[in-house]
Amino acid sequence: MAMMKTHRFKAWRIVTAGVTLSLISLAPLSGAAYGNSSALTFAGITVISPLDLVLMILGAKTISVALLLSAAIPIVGIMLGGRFFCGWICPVGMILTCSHAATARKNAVRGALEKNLEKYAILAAVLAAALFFNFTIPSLYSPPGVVYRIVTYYMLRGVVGADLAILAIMAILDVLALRYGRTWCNTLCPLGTVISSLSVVNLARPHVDHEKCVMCHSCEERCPMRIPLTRATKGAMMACTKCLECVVACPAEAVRIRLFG
Amino acid sequence: MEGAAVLGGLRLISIVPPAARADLVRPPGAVEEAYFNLMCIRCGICFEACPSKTIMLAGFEKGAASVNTPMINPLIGPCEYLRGRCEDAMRCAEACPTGALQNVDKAQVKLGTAKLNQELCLAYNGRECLVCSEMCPLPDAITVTEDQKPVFHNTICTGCGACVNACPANPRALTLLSEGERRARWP
Repeated sequence: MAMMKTHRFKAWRIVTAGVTLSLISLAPLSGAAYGNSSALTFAGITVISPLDLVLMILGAKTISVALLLSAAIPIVGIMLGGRFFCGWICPVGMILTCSHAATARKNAVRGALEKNLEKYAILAAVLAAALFFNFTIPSLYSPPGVVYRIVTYYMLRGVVGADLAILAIMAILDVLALRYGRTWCNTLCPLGTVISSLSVVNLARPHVDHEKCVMCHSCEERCPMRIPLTRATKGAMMACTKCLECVVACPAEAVRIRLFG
Repeated sequence: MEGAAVLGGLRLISIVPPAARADLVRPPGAVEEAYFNLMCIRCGICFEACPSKTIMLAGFEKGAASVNTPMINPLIGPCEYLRGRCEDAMRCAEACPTGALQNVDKAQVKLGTAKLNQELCLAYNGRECLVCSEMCPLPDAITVTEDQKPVFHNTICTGCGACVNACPANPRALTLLSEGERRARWP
């Protein structure tokens, strides 16, 4: 029963990410909306991803009210929803989920990442490179934008361009860690780190009922973000992508999603 | 972009100056090259909004700092901000979310300069051809001599690439260079 449930949620996450990829990539053909996860223009409203905005401000060392306003809607959404984007919408997450599902050995023990300070070190290095060396690689820092752009660019120009090479770099980084699932997402991705850092309200996160918990750690082994669920602090839970793997992994039905708190 | 402010103090702590390549022809309204690479977030909205499909994204051959930044490729289509499918607008600059492309007065824009290679030009080799001067959206950028040969005036040319796009010679007698470009002031 549990396996069937897992399969169902995984399939739904792949479907929602695939539908979003189609919508965002094909919208420019009709002129309804332009852009991708870096920046999006729709019905006269322009929004910018917070990571792209911070890198632009640190790199070009200029700032304007209009730019800050265009990041307001995404930031409020992230504060409420946390990494929902990473679990259900990001096309890179979709690709990695598919490849991991096809290659991972069953019951592979991954273990939780206790503090995961590496991801903050990587983000700090990325921001410092922009500030001190005027060096940014926006494509590599916003991986879902790369996938969206490959499709759009091919539809509009008939060629693939440099994005395929950038996607290959990310693929190599993650093939090394395929056994562990979404290492790119839980440790390397600067965009993911920014989103989890902003996830202060973090609605709909899982809670472990310690009276029912049988300490089998199934939830931690399945968690793509490798969150130590059985002893998770609010801070560690900020990386949660709401993928629901923990809920279906639990044999004791001790993991519940609570909308608030 | 209105209300822009320079974080002057922050510029002082830059150890390496911004990298800039002079050879890329940028879309209209682009800020000076050193800051263009830093302000462009590679979202691709400019190429999606371009009605003449002239905007392409730079590859690795243009340097790591410029990968995925927009450039004008007149072989696909001319930049039609003066006349044509862009309908007297600069759609890319209007849509740019960061101000890397500024929606400035069109009279201030000069993307580059079209360069004529007389050895390849049909008119200079005894054939009848004035396609470049017919396609040029400006009245005085390409004048025609009494013996029906085109003469290019670099200071008037805005580098839209209409002549390069239309040149029927094979190989093309015209190339679009970034020489003489006038960028938007930033900030």
